[in-house]
Amino acid sequence: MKITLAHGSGGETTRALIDQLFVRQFTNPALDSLGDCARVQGFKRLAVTTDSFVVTPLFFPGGDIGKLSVCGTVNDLAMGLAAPRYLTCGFILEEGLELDALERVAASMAKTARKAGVVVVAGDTKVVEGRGGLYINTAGVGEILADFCPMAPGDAILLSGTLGDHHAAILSSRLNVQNAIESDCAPLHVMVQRLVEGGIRVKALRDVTRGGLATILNELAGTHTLRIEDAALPVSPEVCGLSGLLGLDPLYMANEGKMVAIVDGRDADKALDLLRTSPYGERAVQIGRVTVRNEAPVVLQTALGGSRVLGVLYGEGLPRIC
Amino acid sequence: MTHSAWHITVLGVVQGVGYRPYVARLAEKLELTGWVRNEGGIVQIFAEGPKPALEKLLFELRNHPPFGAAIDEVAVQCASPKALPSFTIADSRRSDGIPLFPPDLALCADCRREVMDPGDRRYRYPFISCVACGPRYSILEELPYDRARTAMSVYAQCPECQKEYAGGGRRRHAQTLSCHQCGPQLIFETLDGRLKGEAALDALLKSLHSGGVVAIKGIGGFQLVCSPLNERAVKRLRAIKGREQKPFAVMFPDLPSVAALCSMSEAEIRLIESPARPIVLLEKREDPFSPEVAGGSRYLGVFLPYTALHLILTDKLGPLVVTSANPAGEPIWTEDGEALVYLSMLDGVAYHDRVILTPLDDSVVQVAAGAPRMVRRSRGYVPRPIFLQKTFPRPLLAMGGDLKAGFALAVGNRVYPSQYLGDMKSLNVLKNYRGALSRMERIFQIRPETAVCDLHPGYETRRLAHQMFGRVLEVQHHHAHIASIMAEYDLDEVLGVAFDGTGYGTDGTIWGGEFLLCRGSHFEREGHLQTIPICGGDEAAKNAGLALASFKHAAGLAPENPREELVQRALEGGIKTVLSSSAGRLFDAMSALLGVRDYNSYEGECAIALENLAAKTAPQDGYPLQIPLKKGDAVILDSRPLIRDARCALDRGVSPGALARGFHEALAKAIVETLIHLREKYGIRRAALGGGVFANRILMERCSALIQENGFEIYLPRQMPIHDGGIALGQAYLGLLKGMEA
Ligand SMILES: [Fe+3]
Ligand SMILES: [Mg+2]
Ligand SMILES: [Zn+2]
Ligand SMILES: [Zn+2]
Repeated sequence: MKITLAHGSGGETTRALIDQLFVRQFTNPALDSLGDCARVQGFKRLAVTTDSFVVTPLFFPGGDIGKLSVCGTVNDLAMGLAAPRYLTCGFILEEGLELDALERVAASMAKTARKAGVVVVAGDTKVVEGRGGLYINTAGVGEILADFCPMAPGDAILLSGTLGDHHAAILSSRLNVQNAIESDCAPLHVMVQRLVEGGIRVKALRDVTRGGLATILNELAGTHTLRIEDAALPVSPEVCGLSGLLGLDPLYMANEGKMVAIVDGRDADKALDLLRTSPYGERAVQIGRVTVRNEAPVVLQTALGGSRVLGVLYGEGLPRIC
Repeated sequence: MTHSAWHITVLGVVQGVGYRPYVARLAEKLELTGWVRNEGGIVQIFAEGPKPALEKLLFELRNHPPFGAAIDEVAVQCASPKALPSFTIADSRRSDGIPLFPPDLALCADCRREVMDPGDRRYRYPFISCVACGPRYSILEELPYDRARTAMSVYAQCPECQKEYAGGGRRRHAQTLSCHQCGPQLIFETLDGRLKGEAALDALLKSLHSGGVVAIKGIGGFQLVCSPLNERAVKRLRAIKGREQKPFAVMFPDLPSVAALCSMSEAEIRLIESPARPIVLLEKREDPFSPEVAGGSRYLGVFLPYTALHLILTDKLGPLVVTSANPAGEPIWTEDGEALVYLSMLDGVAYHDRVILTPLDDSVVQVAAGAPRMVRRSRGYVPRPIFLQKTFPRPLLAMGGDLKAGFALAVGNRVYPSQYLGDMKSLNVLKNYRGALSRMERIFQIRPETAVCDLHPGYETRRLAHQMFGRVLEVQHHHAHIASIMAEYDLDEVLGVAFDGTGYGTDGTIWGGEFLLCRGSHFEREGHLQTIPICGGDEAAKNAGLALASFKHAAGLAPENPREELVQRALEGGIKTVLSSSAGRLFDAMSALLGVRDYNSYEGECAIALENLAAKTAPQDGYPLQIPLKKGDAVILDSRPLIRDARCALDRGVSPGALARGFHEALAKAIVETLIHLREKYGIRRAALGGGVFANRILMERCSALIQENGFEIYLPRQMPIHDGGIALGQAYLGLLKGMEA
């Protein structure tokens, strides 16, 4: 069965879709009451975020748009040193979407939410004309666990795992390439929680998404220079192979389950241990250091002893070389 | 006889070439009295005496300047006689005039003779110099040029040198004057220890003689040196530089030894012997060297010794590989510490304690289409300005491009281009860029008020411009290429052909095969190579396989391997894909298609290999290929049929050489046909060729021949490189024109 405009009419069909699909998947007291809003327990300091998800294809190796929409918002909260608590989700469905696909997405969302310890407390659905597409917006509320310490030269830059996996997986399915690459889409809140509990002086956190590591480091640098080492950057051989063929640079490729943590230099070893023993952090490494501001916000030390300015992503594939 | 007095002003490169002593000698010979003074780089002369003697002085000043000087103007005013008793060299004075300062000057013939003469007190002194030769810009701290304001200030002259300084000979007022006793000393350091002076020189000679690879501190930086005949040594040198393929230049002891291997024209000989002593690219006749030096290349980069140390080494050892010391992509080492870090990989480091204040690579020049063409403008040329017919209302900074970075400071009617700096992606190049800029600003007292930069959103130079200036003018890359030529020849209107690898277009696509109608500060894109989707971003500029797969896709040819299949799907999905009319990528694709080369380990490698192959085929044996023109609003040169035809011809057994030759011919013809069409449309009969693709001599020479045969006036850059190293001048010129129109 496919989604039709009737599913968005607000009448019987809509009601059936919500009851039989969404409520069944996300069941919890706050949602099940189906009021105009969810009434929930509060916390002293809140973190709030929202994100919209548009991805082709809807299902890809290692994940789907549903898992992505939960992880994305959970991670945004975690990057604010907050424990994710509640989620809302808005669906925009295009006419012609397979009901079955929607069901799978919803189930995946529910499963991911349970894993991430968040409750989906409110939702909304709209149907538009189109070609069977699906877009999701999620908003999240979290409880702030700790505060950031000010960044200083000598701080360590840690990366929780390999670069480029999500980007490469999406590309592979779009290009119909058979390989073993899977998206790394995953919730990162446990890692963050452990850092906080371990007493690590955290200076900055950021999940490595759009624009890739190079772009987010530029955003994090502030008045400092972040120096990272080429040789230290983890990239899986499969991702390396694919990106080489197409001239992609893993430094600019998106992940959905990796983060950069800048921590006090004295806490670096302990923080690495905590990351490595957390789910999704087994391959965590130190990739560089914070230094006083030099010529550029981000500098990449190459194997041959050169240093290269690492700028932000300025346009997909825009060449510079003459 | 009547006694007259003249006040003479000399403009040009007159500092650091012994100009004042030269004037004093002339005046004394003519029995004139008065004085000569350097006022911030402008020479003022007061001379009195009989009129014929004054006239003779003027004639000499105008017609026989000393070695290294370049005179632009000698102006005369009458003055009232003062009955001075003698002719004196007055102290330097600051002035508001914009100074000129000489570049570093190669060892002169007199010093050459002295250093080889066992009876001379400077026999085998590596740092010999006189008023006519020696380091200048590389050791200059500040103007006016006096020893105290150079890196020589730390060496107190011995009594003998003092006598020469005060005396009447070639070393009168020579600021770099020194000798074995009082000047910088050669140090040769190995893992075993450190030697000084004569012992150092002997050890250095011995090391090189036995196949060693050493770093030697030259004028503008360290150089890596080894024997070109020793394959193992050259391979080690390559490993240190991390340079896989790019040919090395060879320094020869003298002209006859060059003539034994390469054919030279008059113009080429003049260049090789000029005070700048650039590396000159010569066609090889014979190549006895290890193929590791320049085996695959038609050309050999050749130069003559420009310091006494170079002379002593080549005199004893014969030709030597001499290349800038630095890992590929990084700036040349100038500090002793930088070179000594590599000591364990080398057989020794030869240096001295004189500081290099400005890093300068060796310059590279070639003679093409009948005239010298700058390939890399650095030591021996910088800080010489380029004079324009127009005047900048306010001083301005042109940022240049990112890949062959080099800025230009513009003031008055002059543009001072910086030395070649390298790829701005390297942090150290970026540092040198800033360093070179603040040095040049300080030395010449230029305070730019605005900047001009490239449009490219990813260029460091653009970021820097906006960081430094509130007012920044952004100009299109290929427009700057053509404007650079307009500046040199003072053209107001020209049909510009700009062929290169990559430039950011005003429509957000990547340009690189452009026909621009340039009028004043404006341009219209009147034609270009067919725009096609190209996959791979910057990697496509290295990996010619990516360019080929993209061209095949555009030409409707089926992929021939899994990789091409993948690239075609990426192109269809728009992944890492841009629209581009690049001529550079067309050359890469052809090179890969013909199986010539499919990876650029250095810039232009595939295109150079394709040119070399074409050169081996006589023009008449070229396979006829065609680039059809589509004449709409803009002329489109359709490269797709060319790719299809070449692919077919290969299947039918046509040789890659015939196709390579045919490709160059087809491109030259299409360029000229396009120009003819544009001339009919606009009535402009002046054509300018710019962009790095024209560094290809076959293309440049075929194009200029055809263009002239068809009644055009052709303009090619002379003073600035044709590639991105030349765009700073164009940017400055566009800044000037825009300012005049505003
Ligand atoms: Fe260019
Ligand atoms: Mg997000
Ligand atoms: Zn001399
Ligand atoms: Zn002396």
